[in-house]
Amino acid sequence: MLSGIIKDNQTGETLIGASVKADGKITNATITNAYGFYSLSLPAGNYTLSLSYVGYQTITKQINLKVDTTVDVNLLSSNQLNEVVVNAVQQNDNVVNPQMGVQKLNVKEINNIPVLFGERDILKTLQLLPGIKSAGEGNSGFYVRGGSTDQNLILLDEAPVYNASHLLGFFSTFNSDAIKDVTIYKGGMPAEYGGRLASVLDIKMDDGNKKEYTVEGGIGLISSRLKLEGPFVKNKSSFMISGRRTYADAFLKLSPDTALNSNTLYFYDLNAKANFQIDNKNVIYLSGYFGRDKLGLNNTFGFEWGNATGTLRWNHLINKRLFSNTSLIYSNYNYIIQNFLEENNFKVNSSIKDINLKQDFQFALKSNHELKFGLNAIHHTIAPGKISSSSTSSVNQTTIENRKGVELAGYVSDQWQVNRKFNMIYGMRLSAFTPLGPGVFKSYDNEGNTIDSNIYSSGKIVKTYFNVEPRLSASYQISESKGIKLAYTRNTQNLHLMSNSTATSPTDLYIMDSNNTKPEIADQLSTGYFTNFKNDTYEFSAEIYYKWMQNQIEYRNGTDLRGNQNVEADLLYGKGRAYGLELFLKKRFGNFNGWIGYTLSKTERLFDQINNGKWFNAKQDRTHDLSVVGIYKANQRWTFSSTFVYSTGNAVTFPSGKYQLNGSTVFYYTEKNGYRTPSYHRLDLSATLEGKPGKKYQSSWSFGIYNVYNRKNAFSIDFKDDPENANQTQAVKTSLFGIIPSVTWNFKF
Amino acid sequence: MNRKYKNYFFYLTFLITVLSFGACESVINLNLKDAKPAIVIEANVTDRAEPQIVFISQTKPFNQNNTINPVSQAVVTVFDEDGNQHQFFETIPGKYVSASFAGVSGKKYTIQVKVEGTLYTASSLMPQKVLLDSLSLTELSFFNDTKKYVQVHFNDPVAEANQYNYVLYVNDEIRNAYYVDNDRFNDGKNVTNTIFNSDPALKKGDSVTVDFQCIDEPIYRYFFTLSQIAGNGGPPTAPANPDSNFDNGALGYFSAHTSQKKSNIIP
Repeated sequence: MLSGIIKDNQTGETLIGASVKADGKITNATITNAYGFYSLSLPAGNYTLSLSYVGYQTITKQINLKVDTTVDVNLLSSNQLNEVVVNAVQQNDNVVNPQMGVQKLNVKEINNIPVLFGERDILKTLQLLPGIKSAGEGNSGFYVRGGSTDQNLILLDEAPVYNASHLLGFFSTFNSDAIKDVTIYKGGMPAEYGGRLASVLDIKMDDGNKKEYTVEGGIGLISSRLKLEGPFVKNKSSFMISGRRTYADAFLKLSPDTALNSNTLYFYDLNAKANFQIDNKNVIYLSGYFGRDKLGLNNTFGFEWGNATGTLRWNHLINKRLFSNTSLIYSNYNYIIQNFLEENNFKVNSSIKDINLKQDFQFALKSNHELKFGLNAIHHTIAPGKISSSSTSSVNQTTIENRKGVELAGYVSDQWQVNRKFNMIYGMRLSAFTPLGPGVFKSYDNEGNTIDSNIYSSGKIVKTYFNVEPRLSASYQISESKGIKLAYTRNTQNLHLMSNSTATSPTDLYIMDSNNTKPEIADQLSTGYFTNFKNDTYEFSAEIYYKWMQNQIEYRNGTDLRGNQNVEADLLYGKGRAYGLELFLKKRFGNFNGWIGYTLSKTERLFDQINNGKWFNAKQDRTHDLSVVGIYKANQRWTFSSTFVYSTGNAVTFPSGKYQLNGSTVFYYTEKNGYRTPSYHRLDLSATLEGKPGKKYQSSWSFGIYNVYNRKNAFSIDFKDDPENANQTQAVKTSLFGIIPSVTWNFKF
Repeated sequence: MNRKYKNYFFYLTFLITVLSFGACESVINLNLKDAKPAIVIEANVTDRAEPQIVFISQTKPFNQNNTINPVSQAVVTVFDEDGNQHQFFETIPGKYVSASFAGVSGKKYTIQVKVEGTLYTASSLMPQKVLLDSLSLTELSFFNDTKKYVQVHFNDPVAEANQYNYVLYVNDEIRNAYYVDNDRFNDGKNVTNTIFNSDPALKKGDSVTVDFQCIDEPIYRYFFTLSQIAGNGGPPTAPANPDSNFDNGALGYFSAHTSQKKSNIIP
């Protein structure tokens, strides 16, 4: 038995997903888990151990294994070497690993990619990968393989983040300073994840430098960032704290215009983490996130929203084979709307709150079997809206009933090296969802009229939904650098985001399964071809998928989701299908690297009461989606990069006629989402100038140009009477961002 | 309240996009299909003793002008639940007018429209009348742009669902054909609601008239859907034809509603 922890030599940060390969009597390989821990089951003998990680120098060690041995390794970042390292070891994990539909983002790589206003954004960068599509400008949401934005599970140190956007969607809540690792699963989800249909985005925060204190930060056009990290006890425990705040409102304050300078408009983020190594077998991690957006208008109106999450984790090495992690997780998303006008003043308070207990085990069963199993219990509380007002207001105080529910899950999965060529991960997740009282639960007929109403007392079970979710992902190596993979997974989802508008809004709220709303279910079958060539410098993959979805949700015409006591009366249930081809070519090393991603896809929905009961394009349906990313390291100090994106226009409903009603023009619609907006394309450039290397104090400049050729991409298209000639109608396109330059100054010492 | 909230939301979005980053608008040409013409019926019965009016037209292609495409020679009849019948007569093409009669609150009215052998039917319940106390004026400022708006004041009856439509006329021309509201947030209260009218802004000397209507729930939802598609200041929903209370695929609506008018001159 061989086990250990892999860390960064300079900071002592554990490395997630580093590969460990032992060559000797037998060959066995694994990757480190979310805590940098690995364990390999090997018969006694001599082995050559190689340990590697992207962007780090590979270490090779000779070991003579007689008894259970611990080998902890510190890898040297290639940054410290000041040269581009081409790893000597075969980097063919993408071919060998049976896991399908997974993409990892290297946070260092993200820092070189151009973004709007120079604000580094992992969500925007993820959207440059095939199968992951942007939900549009001014929207941090994304669509994975035909799924909607709420079908992505976004985890920050295991805590679900319910609204991952700032400033009505222009920025994501993730400050890349505080992020260590980003992994997205868009198919073949491992059994340890559940609760959403389309994807899992697993984000891990930095643990904090265990060796020395460092300060780093940046000053940009929109925001400034500052991060502080260091050891409590050298090599044993450390902390990290990182903050970010925008100052758009500071510019407003400068305005002499009283109508402008009395407005509020900002957001801030705070990420903090601490870890304590109690002994060789126990580590405690405590991490938290707090973010808030505030908008205010002339003391007449206020609007704020934000997430708060907290995670307490205990890593415990029970023995060399069995690793345990226990997590207690809290997550809260809420928004507050306030109207200060005298006669109509009110305050709306709405939230979703989770308390989550997770127990995961990792067990090195035999040299070719690695088991993962665990349990998970989540208690959800959704408060759709509490309206309060003063006695002088015409608005009544009301509370829309809270909803409570319990989500239970258990899973087991086994990574099995069947032979040198054939690998698989197979497993099962059992999930159960129970909506609980107190509350009034109504049932409705086809037209949405109430037919029955039942009162449940506190803690009483309304209904329980059970689901069995098989998960399988397998790889077969045709040769050293060529492989095929196959995956089948079933996923279920018990929380559903209510949004019938064309854009997402911070006020969109979740509902949970009930007597009317059933768990969403998706079955996905995918297969792919993976190859590396030119000595693993290039990586290519082609994946196809087909996905069936049940219990999808749409809305009746005229559904008003705001303050709606009976929202389920307005819901319609149907099914969906999505299929597509994803191509990905990446140059991984060298002064010039980057990738091309292309997706050809279709996603449709079928509802009895929509579009005359015929299949229609889902709003996230886009036929072609292309992204090209190039990064060029010109010399020690200058790095240039560029991205180009192209996609088919969104599926939208445009009028196919018009009529007059009460003297105004009304448009006549025939088929749902039967038209397309004009295609979207954009080129961005960025350049980074690093300070002189080798100094303790480092600084860099990032320059960027967003939308270089000033393409007027459509944000929305509206139809209205021509203001010059009221007897004619016209289509008006609104575009948000033209060409936008940016500059950011970053420092570290 | 909800409409106000939406308007603020709009102004905030506007602040972020237009003022900060410079969004822009342009007129574009789209290749829109020409759907097969559909029948459109606009039918109202009020509680005023007056000739009631029904308009019948057809849809037309987007690229043609906005002139009504009238439907003539329809047979239009309105019945009440006591069996009283009112015939309508075509006065100009597409416009059908009855002899003078007043609808009564609490009664259900049914309309039958026969066009080229197809019968279209709809029913509407005339709601109880809620008294419009008064109109007033208010000034609101968004980004240094101060505009005048009309406000309605009334006492909402307790413990019953009420829906309202404020139809606004400026200098005897219809400005807002529908501006619907309900009492789910202010049931039983003394209500003040602001009518955020469409452009141009009201100016000194304008004569404004509000037709304060109590409408039934399906009609509220019909007009709410129309305003939702138009964006109503907030993010628009995916558009669809509002659910008509007519059967057989006719567009439009039949509303039996109360009506009270009050006027004011903008000082």
